[in-house]
Amino acid sequence: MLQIENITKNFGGVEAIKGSDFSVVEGRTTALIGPNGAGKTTLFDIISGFVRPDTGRVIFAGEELNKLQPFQRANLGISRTFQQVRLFRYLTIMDHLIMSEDSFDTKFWRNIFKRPRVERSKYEAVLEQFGIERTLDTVVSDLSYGQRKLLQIAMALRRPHKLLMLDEPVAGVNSVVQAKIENLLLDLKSKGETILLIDHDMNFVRRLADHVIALDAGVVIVDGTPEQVLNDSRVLEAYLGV
Amino acid sequence: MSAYFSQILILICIYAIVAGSLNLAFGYTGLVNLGHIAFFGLGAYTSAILTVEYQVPFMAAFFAAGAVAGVFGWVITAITSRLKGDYFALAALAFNFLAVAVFLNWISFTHGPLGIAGVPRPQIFGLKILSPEGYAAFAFLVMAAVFLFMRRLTASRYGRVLEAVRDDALGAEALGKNVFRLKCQCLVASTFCAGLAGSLFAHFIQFIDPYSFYLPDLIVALTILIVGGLASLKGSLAGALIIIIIPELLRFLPIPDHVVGPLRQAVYSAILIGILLVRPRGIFGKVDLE
Ligand SMILES: Nc1ncnc2c1ncn2[C@@H]1O[C@H](COP(=O)(O)OP(=O)(O)OP(=O)(O)O)[C@@H](O)[C@H]1O
Ligand SMILES: [Mg+2]
Repeated sequence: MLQIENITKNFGGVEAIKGSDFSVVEGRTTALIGPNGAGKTTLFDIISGFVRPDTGRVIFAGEELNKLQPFQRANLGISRTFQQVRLFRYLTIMDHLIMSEDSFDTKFWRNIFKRPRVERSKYEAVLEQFGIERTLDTVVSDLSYGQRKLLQIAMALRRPHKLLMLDEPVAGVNSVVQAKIENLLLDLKSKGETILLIDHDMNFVRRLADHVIALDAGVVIVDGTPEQVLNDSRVLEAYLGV
Repeated sequence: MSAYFSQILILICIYAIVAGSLNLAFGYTGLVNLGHIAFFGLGAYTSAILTVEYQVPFMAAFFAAGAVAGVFGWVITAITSRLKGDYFALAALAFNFLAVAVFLNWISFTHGPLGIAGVPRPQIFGLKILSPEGYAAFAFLVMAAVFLFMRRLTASRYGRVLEAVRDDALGAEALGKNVFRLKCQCLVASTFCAGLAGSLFAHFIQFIDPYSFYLPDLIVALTILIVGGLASLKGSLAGALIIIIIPELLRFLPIPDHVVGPLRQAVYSAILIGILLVRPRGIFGKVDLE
């Protein structure tokens, strides 16, 4: 589904990614792990087009993405969340959910002449499913950190997509929300979603991932099943800094 | 007296369109277009030149005014597409200086500092609008149409996406929204409306010169925008009403005529600073000025 080939990226002297290769297989959950600053988020940004790599190619569903803008990649079916939650501060929960659904809202003239009916119950069901106990008209700046994270995942999921990319979906949230997100992902996984996720929590990764890629200082050090990777001495070294 | 009130109403309509369309770009989409008055000027010049020099019928010149301003709006967004926030604002302001320099120096076309006199009163489908009352009615209709259009746009899902671009352009891209195209469309719509207001202005004053489209006018537009509030069309209407009427009250005070002009500028500046200190979101504003 997704192939990363020989990607390198230099940020003004800092070699964030040094020739990484890996692939994400359809219908599987792949976890990208590695210590702080390993380059995980940078790889996400390269895949979704927010950062241009110096060398290498990103291939998604057989198509080379390198020349495509982020919005074009999103419309090809790459749906992602951000480590630093990105929401639109003056808009409501409902605005966010509607916006992630389709692209009717980018059609200038059609929006002037047509006003589609909004079924609130449909969106209320989404809030229920994600356990966001707020009304649809709540402005997102009033949400708690956990609720924002949930909303962001809900948005990524509602977009028509082929690949779901989650950057640290459970970091910084309490154990209740963490369990909620984990169950949600397990459910998606059983339904055949293709997921690429970044996380630091080894137990979380062990429970969810079919495939783990360990990154350290911009290099893929181990790539294999969770057992292989999480027990590999190089991974333990990278994490413990031995 | 009725002529006097008509004139005030016409000015309110013109400035409401100028500020409302600036709000579409600035308040809704976060495009701090400090060159907005240049598009107002482009509309005024287009309409004046077409009717005076080429005897083009008013309605055609009126829409051409919007179209020319809109085309320049598109060009400006395309050129500055890589610039962010404050840099866009500066580039837009620079465009305003450039436009005024062209109005001043392209003498064969604009008559330079002498300006263009004798801009005719509009004739619409054979009906010539001569009275101030008639012109006020026409200006009011144009304003109502422009606000209806902007209202349809901003109240729609499209309007929400514009706001998303303002709040977090990168986040909007991640949702598959073509941010560049949205900014272009918004600025074209905004500058088109400013161009129409320019035409209304030219045929009302019947004389235009480059100095009518400079910083003092930008201050008036910004004051209306900020007083009324960002991302609120109702606010821009209320703002225009207040800001045009307040200085008129100066006329009823015993102040010598040569003081009234500078005093007017001082009053605008004082209102602008006052509202920023007391109520930064303005009367109906929905978002903070950043
Ligand atoms: N825009 C940027 N400009 C300069 N340096 C950057 C930029 N983005 C990332 N870096 C650097 O690249 C390296 C990799 O950063 P990245 O955010 O990808 O790490 P990460 O693996 O996601 O870490 P974390 O676990 O802390 O999220 C770091 O050294 C970081 O400082
Ligand atoms: Mg990261």
